[in-house]
Amino acid sequence: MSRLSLAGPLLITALLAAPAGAATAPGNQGKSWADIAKLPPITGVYETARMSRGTAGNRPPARDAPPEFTPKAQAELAAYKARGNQDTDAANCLPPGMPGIMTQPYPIQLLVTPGEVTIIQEAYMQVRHVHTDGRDHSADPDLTFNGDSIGHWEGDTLVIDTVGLAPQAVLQQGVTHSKNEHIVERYRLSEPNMLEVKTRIEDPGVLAKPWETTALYARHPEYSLAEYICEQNNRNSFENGKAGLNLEFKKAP
Amino acid sequence: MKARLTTAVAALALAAGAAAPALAHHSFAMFDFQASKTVTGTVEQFDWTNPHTFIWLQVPTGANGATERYGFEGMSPNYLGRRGWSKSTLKPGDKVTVTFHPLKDGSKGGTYQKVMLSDGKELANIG
Repeated sequence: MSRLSLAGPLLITALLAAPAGAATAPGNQGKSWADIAKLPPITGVYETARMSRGTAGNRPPARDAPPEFTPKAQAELAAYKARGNQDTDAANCLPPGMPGIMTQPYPIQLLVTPGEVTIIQEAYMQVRHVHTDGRDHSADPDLTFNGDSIGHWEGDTLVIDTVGLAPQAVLQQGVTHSKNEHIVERYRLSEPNMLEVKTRIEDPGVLAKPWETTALYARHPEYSLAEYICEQNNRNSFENGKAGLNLEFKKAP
Repeated sequence: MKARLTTAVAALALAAGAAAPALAHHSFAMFDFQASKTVTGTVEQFDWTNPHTFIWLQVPTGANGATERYGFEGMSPNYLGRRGWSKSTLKPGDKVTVTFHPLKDGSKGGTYQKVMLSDGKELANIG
């Protein structure tokens, strides 16, 4: 509670400093390690709770409503399904980008440092850099798999705002998102060792209404993130829509 | 046991296409999850690699000591390493029994569900 009351004045200061009409308040994470120490202790290694075992326990997946697409996106999805090929470039080891990189069956690590929250995904060895130093989004960001992310705290909740996603960042298999895709994630500890992330995705030309999901991640202090080089021994690659399993025997790499 | 494992794989596959996007590295459509087969043979090689582990098994055909090779895909070292497996769980020459969902195209292999070691110990692919 004292943590929250200390964070309160910082929050109010930041909100007052926010430019009128800004989608999110600038970062109020503080610029020193002493400031970081006052925040909820979300730094740590987590695993998606639906498949987690051990100390933090397992949780069933949230029963989120599926995304509702516009007629144009529905047609694209129907055509994709009709082709019969359910693979994506991930089978060729391309990372899925946001939001898919957050729901992999591998741990993630959150690091809260002055001016940045860093989210490391074991899957595909991806890194999200979330700027919490008060900057706004880049005026004309390069389009990237994990997007341009800024964050700020609202009480005990870290809010991450992401734009600037590359066309190859997968919103949903078989659907192409637009350059207006906008993701807002809200991170908080719903229990001491359970990280809740509520995600809201807007993409007006593609999603008929915002797509909202809730994911739980169990803390695993006993885990260390491991290496994941997808190209090491990938036998699932596909070309021209033809996928399968390559069973050509060769000496283990 | 079989039903539980099948359900787990189905849950992964479902998550890949439903509310949690792009969970899996590839589609599971090539495997027949309605079928489950079991073979016993000798480990030729165990690929402790990403994005998948592979068990290469020489299985007797029943004639003159002849064998044929099976290849089985499983979860990654990252996943299995946190669930009781290690790179030395299977060694060349080990006699093991592999239960698997076969490839739909009839090739000798599939995705392994569980492995029973010669001492009777069982290890699951997803669990």
